[in-house]
Amino acid sequence: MARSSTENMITLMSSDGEEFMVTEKVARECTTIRNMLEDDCVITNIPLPNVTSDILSMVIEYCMEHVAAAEKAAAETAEKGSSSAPAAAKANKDLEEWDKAFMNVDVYTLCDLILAANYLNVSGLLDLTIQTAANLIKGKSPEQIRKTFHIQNDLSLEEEEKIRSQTPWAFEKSE
Amino acid sequence: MKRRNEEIWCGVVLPDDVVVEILSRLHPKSFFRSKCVSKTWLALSSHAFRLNKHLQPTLMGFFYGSSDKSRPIGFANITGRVNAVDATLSLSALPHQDYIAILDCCNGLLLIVCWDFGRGVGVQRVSSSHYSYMYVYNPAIRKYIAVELIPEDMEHFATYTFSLAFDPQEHSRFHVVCFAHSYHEGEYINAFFTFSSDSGRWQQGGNMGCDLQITKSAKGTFLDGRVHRVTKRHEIVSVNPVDNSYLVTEFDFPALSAKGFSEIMQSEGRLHFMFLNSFQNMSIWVSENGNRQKWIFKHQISLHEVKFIGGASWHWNLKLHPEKDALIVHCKNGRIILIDLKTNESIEIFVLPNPKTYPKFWFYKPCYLV
Repeated sequence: MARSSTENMITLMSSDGEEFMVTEKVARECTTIRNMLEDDCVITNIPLPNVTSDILSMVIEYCMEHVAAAEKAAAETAEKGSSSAPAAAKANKDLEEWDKAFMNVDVYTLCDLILAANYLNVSGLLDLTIQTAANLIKGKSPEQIRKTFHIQNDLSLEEEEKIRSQTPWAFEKSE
Repeated sequence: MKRRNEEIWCGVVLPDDVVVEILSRLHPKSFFRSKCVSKTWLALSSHAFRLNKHLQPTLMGFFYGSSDKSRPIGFANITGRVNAVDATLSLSALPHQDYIAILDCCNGLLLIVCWDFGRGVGVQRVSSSHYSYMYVYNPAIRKYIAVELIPEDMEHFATYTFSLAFDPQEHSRFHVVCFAHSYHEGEYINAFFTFSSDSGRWQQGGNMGCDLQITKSAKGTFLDGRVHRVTKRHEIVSVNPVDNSYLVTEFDFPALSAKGFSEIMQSEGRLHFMFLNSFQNMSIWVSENGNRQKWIFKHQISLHEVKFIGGASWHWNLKLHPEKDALIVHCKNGRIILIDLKTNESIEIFVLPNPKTYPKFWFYKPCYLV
């Protein structure tokens, strides 16, 4: 089945003025953009004042990878009539591995990505980044968590003591 | 409401719903630690608590007690959920623990009895009222409350059977119901007492009829504010521990005329009455819309025909799954089998580490309310 090569292209513009040309299919991975396109189908240039070019290029990279994986799976299904379970499982595993490697970023980038995924409403990326943040919290003390995410402690000593005394077992060292 | 300052993470402000989502994915220990990070995290934690699937009061597994003195309590996690529960009941929190036994488990709380051999105080068996120490323990948050011993003027009975009544909707209080039985001058005496955590005292509940002897080995259940237990004559006694009233439900099912074992339990929020006759035929009835007078026949199953089970003596370890239409059976070889009552298909869900011991078991769903 021949695919149309005249797919609509959309230009996304980052907060620092850089332009990214992507296919409409990739852009539609962002629910926020999909809604804009559905409201106004002739739109081709979308400014994204909340997302810097570094982060936007990462978001686009993520969307392209996931669109490509979905297309590959659909093509295989069309070819063989049905997708073979082992092949689908392998494809899923490959994509998971890719996601894992993609999340190999510093916490600043991670927080920016969470914010962008939330703003652009890319559900897969939001889920992935939030889980990565949750994994970073696991096993750490409150002090270590603050240090990791550069969060100011605005609790008083008394407040902190009160919270600790409610569930002392949660603060025991052993894990 | 006091406005919180916007919290900065790595130089950016994450929206509240994103922070809630992160907190709702934390495992129990990390979740409770994270409340200590900042005012924002503390403020969002109660919302995240409700969304966090690791903290929900849904079935996690079961505790089992055994006659193995070196390891009287075990926990089987059958759901694969993260287990932050004090599963071994190491009870480091408890002062007396030479020997412990579970008496009942209700909505995340355990009623346990401990003996302290070293001090030699009141060391007697479970069949007596002379427990050394009785506690209600929450293994999820490792908190315990001591339960008073039965006062001396209630101590003249031969056997005592305990039920715990705890409604997580009113999580600051619980009740314990004690069914007492005795034989005196040619007459059976059955009575009950209730303990309230509000008053910290036992109260005389009243004498029940001389025929209303509770089946000790059937555990009963707590539902809709009442402790339900079966009697030797396959009736149900339902005690309301708040006002000390009780109701008796009698059945006229022909099946009950045979010799057998009955039990009352809850599944999917409804009372179920089951009867197993000596030919291993089990019948299950369900009460309609919480009406104790209206019972509908639900299932009949011949345990002979179920795969895995070969002549096991499991009659007091038959349980209905609290959250689905399934039966859980403890086989002789230590295997715990789940039978889907719609399809009669069975799967193994757990193997007890020491099949020679004869454990009792109690379903457990954690209660993280602090």
